[in-house]
Amino acid sequence: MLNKLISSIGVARQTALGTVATTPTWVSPLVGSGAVAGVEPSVSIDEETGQSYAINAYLEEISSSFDTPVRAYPKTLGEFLYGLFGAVVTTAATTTGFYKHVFSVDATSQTTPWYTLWGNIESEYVRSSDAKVGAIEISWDGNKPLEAAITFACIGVLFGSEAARPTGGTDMAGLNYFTPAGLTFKFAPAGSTLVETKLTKFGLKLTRNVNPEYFSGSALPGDLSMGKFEAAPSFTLKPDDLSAFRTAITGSATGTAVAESVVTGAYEVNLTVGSNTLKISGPKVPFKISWPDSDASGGAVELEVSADNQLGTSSVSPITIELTNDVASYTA
Amino acid sequence: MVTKAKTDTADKVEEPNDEEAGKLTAVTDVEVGIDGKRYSFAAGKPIASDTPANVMLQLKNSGNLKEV
Repeated sequence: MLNKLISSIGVARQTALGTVATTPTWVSPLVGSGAVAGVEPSVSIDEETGQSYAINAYLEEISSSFDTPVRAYPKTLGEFLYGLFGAVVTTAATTTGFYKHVFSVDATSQTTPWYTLWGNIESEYVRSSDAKVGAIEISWDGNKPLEAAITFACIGVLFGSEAARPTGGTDMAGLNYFTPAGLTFKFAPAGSTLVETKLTKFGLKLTRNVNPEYFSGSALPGDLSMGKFEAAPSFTLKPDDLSAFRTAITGSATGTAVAESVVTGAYEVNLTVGSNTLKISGPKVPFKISWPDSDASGGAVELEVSADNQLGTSSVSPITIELTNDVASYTA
Repeated sequence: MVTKAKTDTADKVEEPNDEEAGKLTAVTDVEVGIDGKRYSFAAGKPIASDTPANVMLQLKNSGNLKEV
């Protein structure tokens, strides 16, 4: 019987569309349940008259997107963020041998790198090529380690021994990953004055809305198109009072009436593991906070804070992620 | 493939002004990766005026751009 436990994913950036990488740069185990490839044919049964049952079918599209949940290893998180943002600024960090990578969204450039991905379940191999990172969801609950769910979309798929992952690449198995230990979270329900706030869980969905484009003649996508960048944060507070709610809804901690215009706030997340750091900044976020539920069984009030998207300006990114690790460059 | 949204935002990016561009420098030695290309700038050296606008924007967003 085939065991779904013996499975991992190899990742390498391609130099160009159509140029399949030959060796992986990174190898990562999955966490929980997820996929190392996505090949799902969409078969349509033909609607024909003449008999009481169907006799024809056709293959319309093959879905090639899949979600790979991994731990937030500092090295590979940077690769996936580069895959999503397509832009990075790297400088030497203060700790010798470490580098600060700043990821932000460019206002007009929609170029993101192409990847080759090697997946396996035991000795069943699949190689996805001309792949792009479509979305990353970074989340944690309580003190559980961070999970980074990476959504890939790809154009090429290969099976069999040729698809086996070549040796090489830095394996993440056994390396430290980000956890909420030592977390600093700062929040401003309105304005930009950040105040340290305690939370119980956090999620951030970053998506580029990458869409497979199908052309007549092939059921596999022929290209991947880019949509709008979106960043949707969500977190849960257990507050001592409802000033955050009041501020977000009235625009001020002392406000008494619902604001008739959009109130925007900000947040900042700081995480560390060893000398690796991760800082996520959202400078202009139209938060949605609802009046919390009462409950006959008692317990702490939970305030759910979320936003459909974060806002930028014509020249400032709606989100900036700073990652410090020992990877010298993601563009070399 | 041409992306439809791209034309909507193209006119909103500020092109680096030739007069100002000569006065701009990188704060530290810095590497910018964008559009599949890699650009390196040395700390304190003036940034060339023909540097693409999106590279300048990345430097600005990262806090690595200063005027001298």
